Amino acid sequence: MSTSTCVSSSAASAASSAPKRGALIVFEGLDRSGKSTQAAKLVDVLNESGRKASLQRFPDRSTVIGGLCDAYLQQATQLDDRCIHLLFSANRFEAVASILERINRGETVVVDRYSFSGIAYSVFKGLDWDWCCAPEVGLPKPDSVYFLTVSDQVRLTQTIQNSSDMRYLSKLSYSHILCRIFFSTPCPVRPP
Amino acid sequence: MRAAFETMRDDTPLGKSWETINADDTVTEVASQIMAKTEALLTKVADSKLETFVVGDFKLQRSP
Repeated sequence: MSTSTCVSSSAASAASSAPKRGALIVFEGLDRSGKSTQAAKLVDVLNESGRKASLQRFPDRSTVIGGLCDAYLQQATQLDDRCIHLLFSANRFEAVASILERINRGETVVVDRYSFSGIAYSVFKGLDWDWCCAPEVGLPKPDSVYFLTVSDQVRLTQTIQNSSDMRYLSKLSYSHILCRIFFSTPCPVRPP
Repeated sequence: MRAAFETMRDDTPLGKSWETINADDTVTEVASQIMAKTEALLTKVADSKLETFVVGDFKLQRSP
């Protein structure tokens, strides 16, 4: 047996004893499409079936950068569109070490919003597509992206049922523009 | 209708990675659809390498 064969055999043996990696699954979609509900549900079902899984939400508001993103979303601070785009991207990079550590020990990480939302929202605000994509290079690439779509009729019904959420009514029309960005084509449903 | 990001990883051993799911059905129905897709995914990813985004991953088919 050659030395290289021995090395290959021991490497194969070590590889077979190493834990299988988990998956990186991302949920994307427009507001009120059920991303958070389905992401949390998937984590629960996987854990109940004995497969480790955890949820990662973006923005992760628990970090310093996440706090800045949160202040922007709460309209407590004003930031340049490019600046906030980079902060959202940096917030994802902050979580990379944790995501990789979980995946490498066999845990599936389910992500609620990722790079795609970040790009779509910034392009919606008028920023250049390529410029928005560039900061995402180097982030872990998801094994699968579940893009949830929901009809306006269903979204409107949900909004009316929850009167405290009337702010979402105004978002229905802008979601059509976001829809066009996500699909890079005219939205099939007319704005209300 | 193809999503702007839908071409991502079409040609990898894991196959198509972008799944568009109609969420108009009940939460339970959508969840079971997602679980079925996830079951299939988990068997495939275990022996594969997690990649990172590279320049060109977000290339658009057409301009939005």
